[in-house]
Amino acid sequence: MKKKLGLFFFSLTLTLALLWAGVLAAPGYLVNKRNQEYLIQANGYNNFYHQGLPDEKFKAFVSPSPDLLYSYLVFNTEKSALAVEIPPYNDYWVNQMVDDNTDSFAYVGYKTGSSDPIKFILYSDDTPPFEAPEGYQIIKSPSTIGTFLLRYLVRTQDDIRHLESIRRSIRVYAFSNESNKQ
Amino acid sequence: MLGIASGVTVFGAILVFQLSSNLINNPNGWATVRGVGSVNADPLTKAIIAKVGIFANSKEQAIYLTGFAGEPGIIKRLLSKEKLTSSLKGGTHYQIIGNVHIPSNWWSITLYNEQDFLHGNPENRFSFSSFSINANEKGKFIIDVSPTRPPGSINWLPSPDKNGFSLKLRIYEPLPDLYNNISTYELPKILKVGAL
Repeated sequence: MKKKLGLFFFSLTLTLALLWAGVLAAPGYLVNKRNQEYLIQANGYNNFYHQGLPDEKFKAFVSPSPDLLYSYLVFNTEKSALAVEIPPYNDYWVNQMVDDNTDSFAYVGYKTGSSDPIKFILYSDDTPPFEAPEGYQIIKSPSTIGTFLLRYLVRTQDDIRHLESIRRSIRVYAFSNESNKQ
Repeated sequence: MLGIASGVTVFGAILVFQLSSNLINNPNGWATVRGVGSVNADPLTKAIIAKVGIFANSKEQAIYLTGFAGEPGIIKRLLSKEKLTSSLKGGTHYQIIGNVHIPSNWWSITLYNEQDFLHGNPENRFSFSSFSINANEKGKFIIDVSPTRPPGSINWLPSPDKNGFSLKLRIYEPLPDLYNNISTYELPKILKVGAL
Protein backbone atom coordinates (compact mmCIF):
# COMPACT_ATOMS: atom_id res chain seq x y z
CA MET A 1 0.00 0.00 0.00
CA LYS A 2 2.82 2.37 1.04
CA LYS A 3 4.70 1.53 -2.17
CA LYS A 4 1.61 2.19 -4.32
CA LEU A 5 1.03 5.50 -2.59
CA GLY A 6 4.66 6.50 -3.15
CA LEU A 7 4.41 5.61 -6.85
CA PHE A 8 1.16 7.60 -7.12
CA PHE A 9 2.69 10.78 -5.66
CA PHE A 10 5.86 10.33 -7.68
CA SER A 11 3.98 10.07 -11.00
CA LEU A 12 1.65 12.93 -10.00
CA THR A 13 4.58 15.21 -9.16
CA LEU A 14 6.45 14.20 -12.31
CA THR A 15 3.38 14.88 -14.48
CA LEU A 16 2.88 18.30 -12.91
CA ALA A 17 6.58 19.12 -13.31
CA LEU A 18 6.56 18.11 -16.99
CA LEU A 19 3.38 20.09 -17.74
CA TRP A 20 4.80 23.12 -15.93
CA ALA A 21 8.05 22.83 -17.90
CA GLY A 22 5.92 22.81 -21.05
CA VAL A 23 4.17 26.01 -19.94
CA LEU A 24 7.48 27.74 -19.25
CA ALA A 25 8.96 26.63 -22.57
CA ALA A 26 5.86 27.41 -24.68
CA PRO A 27 6.43 31.15 -25.37
CA GLY A 28 10.06 30.61 -26.42
CA TYR A 29 9.14 27.63 -28.58
CA LEU A 30 6.25 29.44 -30.27
CA VAL A 31 8.16 32.66 -30.98
CA ASN A 32 11.11 30.69 -32.34
CA LYS A 33 8.79 28.73 -34.63
CA ARG A 34 7.28 32.01 -35.85
CA ASN A 35 10.72 33.57 -36.33
CA GLN A 36 11.92 30.65 -38.45
CA GLU A 37 9.10 31.40 -40.90
CA TYR A 38 9.86 35.14 -40.85
CA LEU A 39 13.56 34.47 -41.52
CA ILE A 40 12.69 32.56 -44.68
CA GLN A 41 10.35 35.33 -45.86
CA ALA A 42 12.81 38.13 -45.06
CA ASN A 43 15.84 36.25 -46.40
CA GLY A 44 17.76 36.20 -43.11
CA TYR A 45 18.35 38.21 -39.97
CA ASN A 46 18.01 41.99 -39.72
CA ASN A 47 15.86 42.34 -42.84
CA PHE A 48 12.29 43.58 -42.77
CA TYR A 49 9.58 41.64 -44.55
CA HIS A 50 6.65 43.85 -45.53
CA GLN A 51 3.20 42.28 -45.62
CA GLY A 52 0.23 43.55 -47.62
CA LEU A 53 -3.00 44.58 -45.93
CA PRO A 54 -4.44 41.46 -44.22
CA ASP A 55 -7.41 39.71 -45.79
CA GLU A 56 -8.74 36.15 -45.52
CA LYS A 57 -5.55 34.79 -47.14
CA PHE A 58 -3.29 36.30 -44.46
CA LYS A 59 -1.84 33.48 -42.32
CA ALA A 60 1.39 35.01 -40.95
CA PHE A 61 -0.12 35.01 -37.45
CA VAL A 62 -3.56 34.60 -35.91
CA SER A 63 -6.01 37.47 -35.41
CA PRO A 64 -4.39 40.03 -37.73
CA SER A 65 -5.95 43.47 -37.83
CA PRO A 66 -7.28 44.34 -41.32
CA ASP A 67 -6.67 48.02 -40.53
CA LEU A 68 -2.91 47.66 -40.12
CA LEU A 69 -0.01 47.09 -42.47
CA TYR A 70 2.47 44.76 -40.78
CA SER A 71 6.20 44.49 -41.32
CA TYR A 72 8.43 42.19 -39.34
CA LEU A 73 12.09 41.53 -38.81
CA VAL A 74 14.05 38.98 -36.81
CA PHE A 75 17.04 40.72 -35.27
CA ASN A 76 20.34 39.24 -34.24
CA THR A 77 22.73 41.48 -32.31
CA GLU A 78 25.49 38.92 -31.74
CA LYS A 79 28.00 40.27 -34.24
CA SER A 80 27.20 43.97 -33.96
CA ALA A 81 24.63 46.44 -32.75
CA LEU A 82 21.82 47.26 -35.12
CA ALA A 83 21.03 50.77 -36.34
CA VAL A 84 17.42 51.38 -37.38
CA GLU A 85 16.01 54.50 -39.06
CA ILE A 86 12.27 54.71 -39.68
CA PRO A 87 10.89 57.65 -41.70
CA PRO A 88 8.04 59.69 -40.19
CA TYR A 89 4.42 58.78 -40.88
CA ASN A 90 1.75 61.24 -39.87
CA ASP A 91 -0.65 58.74 -38.33
CA TYR A 92 -0.63 55.85 -35.88
CA TRP A 93 2.35 53.52 -36.20
CA VAL A 94 4.35 51.55 -33.69
CA ASN A 95 7.37 49.26 -33.77
CA GLN A 96 7.06 46.63 -31.05
CA MET A 97 10.29 44.93 -29.99
CA VAL A 98 9.91 41.43 -28.59
CA ASP A 99 12.54 39.20 -27.00
CA ASP A 100 12.98 35.44 -27.49
CA ASN A 101 10.40 34.71 -24.77
CA THR A 102 7.59 36.89 -26.27
CA ASP A 103 8.21 39.74 -23.78
CA SER A 104 7.87 43.20 -25.34
CA PHE A 105 10.84 45.22 -24.12
CA ALA A 106 10.47 48.47 -26.11
CA TYR A 107 8.17 50.43 -28.37
CA VAL A 108 8.94 53.30 -30.72
CA GLY A 109 6.31 55.00 -32.82
CA TYR A 110 4.10 57.90 -33.77
CA LYS A 111 4.39 61.14 -31.89
CA THR A 112 1.87 63.87 -32.61
CA GLY A 113 3.35 66.66 -34.70
CA SER A 114 6.79 65.10 -35.11
CA SER A 115 8.22 65.04 -38.61
CA ASP A 116 11.58 63.55 -37.62
CA PRO A 117 12.58 59.99 -38.43
CA ILE A 118 12.90 57.61 -35.49
CA LYS A 119 16.51 56.52 -35.08
CA PHE A 120 17.71 53.94 -32.61
CA ILE A 121 20.54 51.52 -31.93
CA LEU A 122 19.68 48.07 -30.61
CA TYR A 123 22.17 45.94 -28.71
CA SER A 124 22.26 43.04 -26.27
CA ASP A 125 24.73 41.60 -23.74
CA ASP A 126 26.53 39.68 -26.51
CA THR A 127 27.04 42.71 -28.76
CA PRO A 128 30.68 43.84 -29.19
CA PRO A 129 31.30 47.25 -27.53
CA PHE A 130 30.42 50.32 -29.57
CA GLU A 131 30.34 54.07 -29.11
CA ALA A 132 26.81 55.42 -29.11
CA PRO A 133 26.36 58.02 -31.86
CA GLU A 134 24.49 61.27 -31.32
CA GLY A 135 20.84 61.51 -32.26
CA TYR A 136 20.09 57.84 -31.73
CA GLN A 137 17.99 56.35 -28.96
CA ILE A 138 19.89 53.41 -27.40
CA ILE A 139 17.78 50.34 -26.68
CA LYS A 140 18.97 47.17 -24.97
CA SER A 141 17.39 43.86 -25.87
CA PRO A 142 17.20 41.20 -23.13
CA SER A 143 17.99 38.55 -25.77
CA THR A 144 20.40 38.38 -28.71
CA ILE A 145 17.66 37.26 -31.08
CA GLY A 146 14.18 38.76 -31.14
CA THR A 147 11.48 40.24 -33.31
CA PHE A 148 10.33 43.65 -34.51
CA LEU A 149 6.67 43.92 -35.35
CA LEU A 150 5.92 47.18 -37.13
CA ARG A 151 2.27 48.24 -37.38
CA TYR A 152 0.97 51.09 -39.59
CA LEU A 153 -2.63 52.27 -39.51
CA VAL A 154 -4.28 52.34 -42.94
CA ARG A 155 -7.36 54.50 -43.39
CA THR A 156 -7.51 54.73 -47.20
CA GLN A 157 -6.02 53.13 -50.30
CA ASP A 158 -3.82 56.25 -50.65
CA ASP A 159 -2.27 55.40 -47.29
CA ILE A 160 -1.16 52.03 -48.67
CA ARG A 161 0.66 53.66 -51.60
CA HIS A 162 2.25 56.22 -49.28
CA LEU A 163 3.31 53.52 -46.82
CA GLU A 164 4.87 51.41 -49.55
CA SER A 165 7.28 54.26 -50.17
CA ILE A 166 7.90 54.80 -46.44
CA ARG A 167 8.55 51.13 -45.80
CA ARG A 168 11.02 50.95 -48.68
CA SER A 169 12.94 53.82 -47.04
CA ILE A 170 13.43 52.11 -43.67
CA ARG A 171 17.14 51.59 -43.03
CA VAL A 172 18.48 48.72 -40.91
CA TYR A 173 22.23 48.16 -40.79
CA ALA A 174 24.93 46.65 -38.61
CA PHE A 175 26.41 49.37 -36.43
CA SER A 176 29.96 49.22 -35.09
CA ASN A 177 32.64 51.79 -34.34
CA GLU A 178 34.16 50.87 -37.71
CA SER A 179 30.96 51.42 -39.70
CA ASN A 180 30.37 54.69 -37.85
CA LYS A 181 33.76 56.06 -39.01
CA GLN A 182 32.99 55.40 -42.67
CA MET B 1 -1.49 5.65 -14.45
CA LEU B 2 -3.66 7.08 -11.70
CA GLY B 3 -0.85 9.45 -10.71
CA ILE B 4 -0.50 10.75 -14.28
CA ALA B 5 -4.27 11.17 -14.67
CA SER B 6 -4.45 12.98 -11.33
CA GLY B 7 -1.53 15.20 -12.38
CA VAL B 8 -3.32 16.17 -15.58
CA THR B 9 -6.53 16.87 -13.65
CA VAL B 10 -4.76 18.97 -11.02
CA PHE B 11 -2.97 20.87 -13.78
CA GLY B 12 -6.27 21.47 -15.59
CA ALA B 13 -7.79 22.80 -12.37
CA ILE B 14 -4.83 25.16 -11.86
CA LEU B 15 -5.22 26.34 -15.48
CA VAL B 16 -8.94 27.06 -15.05
CA PHE B 17 -8.38 28.77 -11.68
CA GLN B 18 -5.56 30.92 -13.06
CA LEU B 19 -7.53 31.90 -16.15
CA SER B 20 -10.69 32.71 -14.24
CA SER B 21 -8.78 34.82 -11.72
CA ASN B 22 -7.20 36.79 -14.58
CA LEU B 23 -10.37 37.19 -16.61
CA ILE B 24 -11.92 40.66 -16.72
CA ASN B 25 -15.53 40.69 -17.89
CA ASN B 26 -17.34 43.74 -19.16
CA PRO B 27 -21.14 43.50 -18.78
CA ASN B 28 -21.67 44.57 -22.39
CA GLY B 29 -20.49 41.18 -23.65
CA TRP B 30 -16.69 41.53 -23.77
CA ALA B 31 -13.88 39.89 -21.85
CA THR B 32 -10.12 40.34 -21.63
CA VAL B 33 -7.30 38.69 -19.73
CA ARG B 34 -5.22 40.56 -17.19
CA GLY B 35 -1.53 40.64 -18.09
CA VAL B 36 -1.82 40.48 -21.90
CA GLY B 37 1.45 41.68 -23.41
CA SER B 38 3.01 42.26 -20.00
CA VAL B 39 6.51 41.15 -19.02
CA ASN B 40 5.07 40.49 -15.55
CA ALA B 41 2.28 38.19 -16.70
CA ASP B 42 2.22 34.83 -14.94
CA PRO B 43 3.70 31.91 -16.96
CA LEU B 44 0.30 30.35 -17.74
CA THR B 45 -1.12 33.60 -19.11
CA LYS B 46 2.06 34.17 -21.08
CA ALA B 47 1.88 30.68 -22.60
CA ILE B 48 -1.80 31.06 -23.53
CA ILE B 49 -1.25 34.49 -25.10
CA ALA B 50 1.75 33.13 -27.04
CA LYS B 51 -0.58 30.48 -28.46
CA VAL B 52 -3.72 32.54 -29.21
CA GLY B 53 -2.34 36.06 -29.69
CA ILE B 54 1.42 36.09 -30.11
CA PHE B 55 2.95 39.60 -30.20
CA ALA B 56 0.01 41.12 -28.34
CA ASN B 57 0.74 44.67 -27.24
CA SER B 58 0.89 45.82 -23.63
CA LYS B 59 -2.26 47.44 -22.17
CA GLU B 60 -0.73 50.92 -22.55
CA GLN B 61 -0.47 50.28 -26.31
CA ALA B 62 -3.73 48.42 -26.87
CA ILE B 63 -6.54 46.65 -25.04
CA TYR B 64 -7.81 43.46 -26.67
CA LEU B 65 -11.31 42.26 -25.83
CA THR B 66 -13.17 39.21 -27.12
CA GLY B 67 -16.95 39.30 -27.57
CA PHE B 68 -19.08 36.65 -25.85
CA ALA B 69 -22.56 38.20 -26.04
CA GLY B 70 -24.09 35.91 -23.47
CA GLU B 71 -22.75 32.78 -25.19
CA PRO B 72 -20.75 30.36 -22.99
CA GLY B 73 -17.64 32.19 -21.75
CA ILE B 74 -14.02 31.15 -21.84
CA ILE B 75 -14.08 29.04 -18.66
CA LYS B 76 -17.17 27.06 -19.65
CA ARG B 77 -15.64 26.51 -23.08
CA LEU B 78 -12.41 25.31 -21.52
CA LEU B 79 -14.27 22.86 -19.29
CA SER B 80 -16.34 21.55 -22.20
CA LYS B 81 -13.21 21.36 -24.42
CA GLU B 82 -14.79 23.70 -27.00
CA LYS B 83 -12.62 26.06 -28.99
CA LEU B 84 -11.60 28.88 -26.70
CA THR B 85 -12.16 31.95 -28.80
CA SER B 86 -14.97 31.27 -31.34
CA SER B 87 -17.88 31.69 -28.98
CA LEU B 88 -20.39 33.27 -31.35
CA LYS B 89 -22.68 31.18 -33.54
CA GLY B 90 -22.79 31.18 -37.33
CA GLY B 91 -26.19 31.73 -38.94
CA THR B 92 -27.15 34.17 -36.19
CA HIS B 93 -27.84 37.89 -36.28
CA TYR B 94 -26.02 39.94 -33.63
CA GLN B 95 -25.98 43.70 -33.22
CA ILE B 96 -23.25 45.81 -31.67
CA ILE B 97 -24.63 49.09 -30.38
CA GLY B 98 -22.27 51.75 -29.12
CA ASN B 99 -20.79 55.21 -29.30
CA VAL B 100 -17.86 56.08 -31.52
CA HIS B 101 -16.18 58.05 -28.72
CA ILE B 102 -14.02 55.59 -26.76
CA PRO B 103 -11.19 57.44 -24.94
CA SER B 104 -8.26 56.29 -27.07
CA ASN B 105 -6.39 57.05 -30.27
CA TRP B 106 -8.63 54.73 -32.30
CA TRP B 107 -10.50 51.44 -32.03
CA SER B 108 -11.68 48.60 -34.25
CA ILE B 109 -14.07 45.64 -34.10
CA THR B 110 -12.95 42.67 -36.24
CA LEU B 111 -14.58 39.34 -37.03
CA TYR B 112 -12.51 36.10 -37.11
CA ASN B 113 -13.39 32.58 -38.19
CA GLU B 114 -12.86 29.46 -36.07
CA GLN B 115 -9.17 29.37 -37.01
CA ASP B 116 -8.77 32.97 -35.78
CA PHE B 117 -8.18 34.28 -39.31
CA LEU B 118 -10.27 36.86 -41.18
CA HIS B 119 -13.58 35.62 -42.58
CA GLY B 120 -13.63 35.96 -46.38
CA ASN B 121 -16.72 37.65 -47.85
CA PRO B 122 -17.67 39.32 -51.16
CA GLU B 123 -17.73 42.78 -49.54
CA ASN B 124 -14.14 42.42 -48.27
CA ARG B 125 -15.46 43.81 -45.01
CA PHE B 126 -13.53 42.41 -42.07
CA SER B 127 -13.87 45.17 -39.49
CA PHE B 128 -15.31 48.52 -38.52
CA SER B 129 -13.21 51.14 -36.82
CA SER B 130 -13.63 54.55 -35.23
CA PHE B 131 -12.84 56.10 -38.62
CA SER B 132 -14.83 53.75 -40.90
CA ILE B 133 -18.05 53.34 -38.90
CA ASN B 134 -21.24 55.14 -39.96
CA ALA B 135 -22.49 56.89 -36.83
CA ASN B 136 -25.24 59.46 -36.24
CA GLU B 137 -24.57 63.07 -35.17
CA LYS B 138 -24.38 62.01 -31.51
CA GLY B 139 -21.77 59.37 -32.33
CA LYS B 140 -24.13 56.40 -31.90
CA PHE B 141 -23.76 53.42 -34.22
CA ILE B 142 -25.21 49.96 -34.83
CA ILE B 143 -23.18 47.18 -36.46
CA ASP B 144 -25.16 44.24 -37.87
CA VAL B 145 -23.18 40.99 -37.62
CA SER B 146 -24.97 38.53 -39.85
CA PRO B 147 -24.36 36.20 -42.84
CA THR B 148 -26.61 38.37 -45.03
CA ARG B 149 -27.14 42.13 -44.97
CA PRO B 150 -30.22 42.98 -42.89
CA PRO B 151 -32.56 45.44 -44.68
CA GLY B 152 -31.48 49.04 -44.06
CA SER B 153 -28.19 48.14 -42.38
CA ILE B 154 -25.49 50.79 -42.90
CA ASN B 155 -22.76 48.93 -40.95
CA TRP B 156 -22.89 45.29 -42.03
CA LEU B 157 -20.15 42.95 -40.81
CA PRO B 158 -20.57 39.64 -42.70
CA SER B 159 -20.37 36.52 -40.52
CA PRO B 160 -20.26 32.77 -41.36
CA ASP B 161 -23.59 31.06 -41.95
CA LYS B 162 -22.60 27.80 -40.24
CA ASN B 163 -19.38 27.79 -38.24
CA GLY B 164 -18.63 29.65 -35.04
CA PHE B 165 -16.72 32.91 -35.06
CA SER B 166 -15.33 35.55 -32.74
CA LEU B 167 -15.34 39.32 -32.46
CA LYS B 168 -12.37 41.29 -31.19
CA LEU B 169 -12.52 44.85 -29.96
CA ARG B 170 -9.12 46.54 -30.07
CA ILE B 171 -8.65 49.89 -28.38
CA TYR B 172 -5.35 51.52 -29.36
CA GLU B 173 -3.50 53.86 -27.04
CA PRO B 174 -6.32 53.88 -24.49
CA LEU B 175 -6.36 56.58 -21.85
CA PRO B 176 -5.25 55.18 -18.45
CA ASP B 177 -8.76 55.73 -17.02
CA LEU B 178 -10.12 53.33 -19.61
CA TYR B 179 -7.73 50.43 -19.07
CA ASN B 180 -7.98 50.83 -15.29
CA ASN B 181 -11.80 50.65 -15.47
CA ILE B 182 -12.31 48.34 -18.42
CA SER B 183 -14.69 46.07 -16.44
CA THR B 184 -17.18 48.88 -15.87
CA TYR B 185 -16.69 51.21 -18.86
CA GLU B 186 -19.71 51.52 -21.18
CA LEU B 187 -18.24 49.66 -24.17
CA PRO B 188 -20.30 48.91 -27.31
CA LYS B 189 -22.94 46.35 -26.35
CA ILE B 190 -23.29 43.03 -28.20
CA LEU B 191 -26.86 41.78 -28.49
CA LYS B 192 -28.13 38.53 -29.95
CA VAL B 193 -31.01 39.43 -32.26
CA GLY B 194 -31.80 35.82 -33.21
CA ALA B 195 -31.05 32.79 -35.35
CA LEU B 196 -31.62 33.13 -39.10
